[in-house]
Amino acid sequence: MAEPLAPIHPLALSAQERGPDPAAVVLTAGPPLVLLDLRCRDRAALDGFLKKPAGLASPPVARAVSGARGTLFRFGPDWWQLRCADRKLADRLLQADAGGPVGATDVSDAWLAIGVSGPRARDVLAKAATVDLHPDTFPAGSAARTLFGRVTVVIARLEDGEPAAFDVTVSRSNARFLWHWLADAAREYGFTLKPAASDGA
Amino acid sequence: MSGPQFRLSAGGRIDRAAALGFSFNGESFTGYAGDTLASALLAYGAFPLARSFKYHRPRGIYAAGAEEPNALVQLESGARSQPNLRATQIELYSGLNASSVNAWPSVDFDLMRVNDWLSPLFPSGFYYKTFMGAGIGTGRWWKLFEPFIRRAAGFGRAPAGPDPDRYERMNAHCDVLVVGGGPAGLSAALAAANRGSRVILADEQAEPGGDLLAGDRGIDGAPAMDWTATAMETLGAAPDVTVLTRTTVAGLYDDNFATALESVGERFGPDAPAHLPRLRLWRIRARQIVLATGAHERPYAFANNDTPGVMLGNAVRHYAGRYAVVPGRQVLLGTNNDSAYRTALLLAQAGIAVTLADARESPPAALAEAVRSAGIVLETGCAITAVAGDRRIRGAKIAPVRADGEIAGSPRPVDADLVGVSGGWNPALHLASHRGARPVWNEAPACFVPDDLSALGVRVAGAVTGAGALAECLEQGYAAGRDAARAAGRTKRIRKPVLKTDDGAAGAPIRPLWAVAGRRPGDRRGKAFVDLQNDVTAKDVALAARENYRSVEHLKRYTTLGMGTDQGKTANVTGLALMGMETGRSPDAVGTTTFRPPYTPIPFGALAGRDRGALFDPVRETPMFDWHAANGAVFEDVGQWKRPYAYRRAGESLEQAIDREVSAVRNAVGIMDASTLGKIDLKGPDVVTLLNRVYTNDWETLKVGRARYGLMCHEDGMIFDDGVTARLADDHYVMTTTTGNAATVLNWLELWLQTEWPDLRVFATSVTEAWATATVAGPEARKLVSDLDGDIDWSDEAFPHMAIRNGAILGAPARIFRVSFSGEASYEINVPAHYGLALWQALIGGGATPYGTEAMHVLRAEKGFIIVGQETDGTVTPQDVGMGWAVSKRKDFIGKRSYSRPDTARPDRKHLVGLLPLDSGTVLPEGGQIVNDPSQEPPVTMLGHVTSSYRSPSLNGGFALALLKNGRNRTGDTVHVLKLDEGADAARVVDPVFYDRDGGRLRG
Amino acid sequence: MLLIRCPYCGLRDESEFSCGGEADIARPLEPEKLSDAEWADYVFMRTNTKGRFKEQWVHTHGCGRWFTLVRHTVSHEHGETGVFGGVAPEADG
Repeated sequence: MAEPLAPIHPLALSAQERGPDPAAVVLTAGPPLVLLDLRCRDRAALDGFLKKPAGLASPPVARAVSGARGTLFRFGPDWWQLRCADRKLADRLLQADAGGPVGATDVSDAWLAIGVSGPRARDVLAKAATVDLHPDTFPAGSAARTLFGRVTVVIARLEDGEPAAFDVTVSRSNARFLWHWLADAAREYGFTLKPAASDGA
Repeated sequence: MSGPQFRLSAGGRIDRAAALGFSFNGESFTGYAGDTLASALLAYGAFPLARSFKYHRPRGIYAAGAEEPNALVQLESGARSQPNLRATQIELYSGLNASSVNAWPSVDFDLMRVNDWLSPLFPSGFYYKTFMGAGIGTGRWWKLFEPFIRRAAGFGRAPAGPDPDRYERMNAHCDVLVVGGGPAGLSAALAAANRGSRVILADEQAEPGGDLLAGDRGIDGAPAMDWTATAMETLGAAPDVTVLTRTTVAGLYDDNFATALESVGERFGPDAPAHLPRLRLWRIRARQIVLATGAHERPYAFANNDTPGVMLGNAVRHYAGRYAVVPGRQVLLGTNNDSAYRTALLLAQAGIAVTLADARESPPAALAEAVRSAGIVLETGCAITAVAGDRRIRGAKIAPVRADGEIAGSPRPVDADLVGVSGGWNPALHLASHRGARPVWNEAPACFVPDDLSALGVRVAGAVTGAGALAECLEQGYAAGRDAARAAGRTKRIRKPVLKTDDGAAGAPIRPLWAVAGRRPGDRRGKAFVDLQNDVTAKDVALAARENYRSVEHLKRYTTLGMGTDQGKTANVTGLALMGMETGRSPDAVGTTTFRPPYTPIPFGALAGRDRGALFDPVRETPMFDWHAANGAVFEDVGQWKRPYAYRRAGESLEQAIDREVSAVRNAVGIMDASTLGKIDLKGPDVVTLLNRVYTNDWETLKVGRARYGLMCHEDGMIFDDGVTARLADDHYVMTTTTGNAATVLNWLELWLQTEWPDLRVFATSVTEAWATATVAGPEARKLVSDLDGDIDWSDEAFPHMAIRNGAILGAPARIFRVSFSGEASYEINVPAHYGLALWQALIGGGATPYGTEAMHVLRAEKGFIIVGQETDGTVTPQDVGMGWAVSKRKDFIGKRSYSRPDTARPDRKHLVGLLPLDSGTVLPEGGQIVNDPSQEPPVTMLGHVTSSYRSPSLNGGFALALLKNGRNRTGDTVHVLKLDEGADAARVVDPVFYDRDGGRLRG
Repeated sequence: MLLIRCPYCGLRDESEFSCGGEADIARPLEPEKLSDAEWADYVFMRTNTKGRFKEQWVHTHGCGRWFTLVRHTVSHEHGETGVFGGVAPEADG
């Protein structure tokens, strides 16, 4: 056997439009991620580890910062996740962690991102999210790891803008369930699905 | 039924241009948009529409809101049907179809009416005395009577078939939640909203206004509903105010969490737009709460006060003012307070003849003058003593009454076909009670009011405080809204609005009155009901007192007072007050029951929300799921994972499929999707120390590139997980866990690393889903994997059993464990999850047979390999399952000390053994109890149970694993396994390894 | 549904957390030197306080950290929180 393997995205469903206002909620399957879990007891050490290769410094807990080379999420005092703009950065960091104060682990294929946007995006998420997504308490740069119904997700608002657009990170195994769940929850308002390209790349 | 003859020709908040046809008990009616089912029916008269619970007396509509005790109906039929809805809260829609719930065979001819005529036989406590009493064989009598009682009491019918409607749940957050959209609630919402607060205002009606909806109140010289409309405009324009109409706050919980039920599509009936949910359950997290929940009017009891046409006085006012319905021509109002005067005036304006009987000798002069000049007959110092009639009122009697309610003079007849009774107001303190408020008796308005909850961020305003005057309600609402906003950090200064109300001169106090006669044993004037829904009379309360059931909890259980679906909203306080009179105590000394959520019933559908059908529980799919689904996989749920149990081919039974899969692995090569196995990446210089502490065996000798099996125990020494851990680099390991325990094990490691051993430098990260895993097993496994393009040397010398290798397979990065759970040579190939399906397809293309979890179970059981959770149950040690070899004597680890506890060290604990049925065609029942002698008289000595049992194509028969007392010392004995129904199977105790005992095959 | 105050994330819904029971149950340093009764006390016995009670909780679906929390077992009123391993909340967190 010599045919090389091709990655396959679980949200490669055909596009569909439903409900009274198809623009009310737009669900977008994000592209495959290049993702590192970063664990470190010392924020300064983490900042030092990332500064040169990633050009990012740690945000507070439950926040995220974006730069040209990636987006850095902070889940807890000793736990970060870095969405890398490319594979090169991830490989460089994975090699750099050996024996140092930072533990870097490649979790790229474990997670997928679903974009939830449109004027009713917040309402759809509020059907299961218990965190307060109001712009006063969840401004751009917020990124809460939380329980969505019975699925652990990260709900983030990475960019400014009105109406707010949300980025939901979900484990690969739960992604299709959550996709269907969100579409069903959006039916009340109307929604558009933008699935992944079928080759997943 | 003749036409809607009781609809007034003008007025009300109904839309007379929008006539709506509907059906009730099979008859056709017409109402208007803006009607409730109750108001539309009352336009046809105050006829009976239900039968009472115990005596099956005819009952009519009694109230105008949530407190309705009588008018419970079944709404719609079939799968959409709902039982026990209050007609007073159902908004009318075109085509509505409802029926009575408690009438057999019909409202008009109720066979159970015999209960009423036989009522001396059914006193309070009848059920307790008959069925709980000593001396009568309780169980036997209950069995005999239960079907009869249940049918007789039957409140409504369950829907037939799955609910076709959609239900939503919504989480919401706010600074201030205002419950109730009456004058106090609107005033509070305005005060909070004007200070920039995020406000949610929830009101159970179709439009806010509360008491103002009756239309007879004025603010600032204009109709009060004009003020309401302006308030709604202001709130609507505020950016962070949500007004929820048709929304009942059902419960308040810790940390000011509230649940509220919103009626969304329901008001359109079965023809509601498909995208709308029928109901939406709000889950509101409020920083501050203002309860402006108002008050429920209470009646006083008199003879036959349950006759259709007897209603709460304020309900008569609301039906007249809001719905333009007065279901009578001659109205008798009985009161003991000022509030009925407004009702009387409103009716008189509509041209209705009114007699007002005020129990007080001296009503306020201004009010007396006002009603007299409106042509109303005012009788002072008098109360209603009885009504005549059965299915409708044919007259009433009034008489002077003493302080204790007993009649002091001879009753006089009054012509009446509609009776309104107003005995005072009970604040709706249910929600305050949910948050722990203690009801405090307040003498002046003679009612319970909630005590102060402001420390919890809960404030009360309006009639719920016992306030009566409109000005007072507006003032309290403003103050509560302002204080709530401030407490939520909204400190903007706003000028207080000044409003002039039509309250008039100060009134006179209430004269407490609970029951007029009807209490004494010899009183034959007729039943005087306290709790209409549960058929509890004043006499029943007196009987409870005589039999010494005097505390409120005893009163409630003995008489069933307040135990109906209305939770006694119109009954409880009256019952307490009567008990107090019987026993010489004030009502609060009798005590109060605790109100619990929900305030009004919530359908299960609303609680379930989206958690039903395909979305019932989160589903986890592996990267190969679509292939499994397309290739005959029968799935089993392992936690939330969908795992293929077996792959059925056309014409194959499940058993044949499993046999085929097992044989393929034993004789050729099979592949299994093992992606669900937990995988934890461990990094840091102290990983080996951690492994030594959490696993029972030694880890110091594990070399890079090698893997080792480990058992994990709790401190009690019992097994809770097992798996293989491999060393990838000096300080980099990957631990595998059972599918079901992946999260639990990671949490377990974090618990110890964070709380007990923070000095250990270890980072633990779940990588379960980063990798897809295909297990390639069988004598031809190596040939298959060697054919894959890549850089791995698969030879046994280069890649022996219990080794791991990293490399590339078909261009994808791969991590391969050579481990075996089947007893055959076996490779667990891990690739990044997005490549999983492609790898699987490549292996299938190479000729592998896919096998599922059941074949895997057969294969591992033949080898005597345990499954945590199947062979173990939290009471099983490593030694019990014959794995003492994996328990270090050298080091300390979690659970070690427990092995020297006397019970754990016993030599005759239950041991893991193999069982071979004497009849090889038998497959022993899993879970079957093992005994020495199946004919032993009970109690039978139980020796253990079968933990795993299968048919093996390799052994050509059934075989099992079991936990057997002293089992390792019983090899060769015959034991018996009890079957679920009857009889037992004989089996021989053998070693638990059935296949390839020397392990040659897995090294092959 | 309670709100639980995570020292790192602030107030979050109870559903994000798991309660680990009584706090300050330290693992004996030398288990083999303990009597059976002393070991059983460590493994099995916990106090069942009515009133203020120090518990350990973990923010399972949030930051993943364990912390201690004093909670009134009747009113659920929160008291002080504490952290493990000196992992202090940051001022800007």
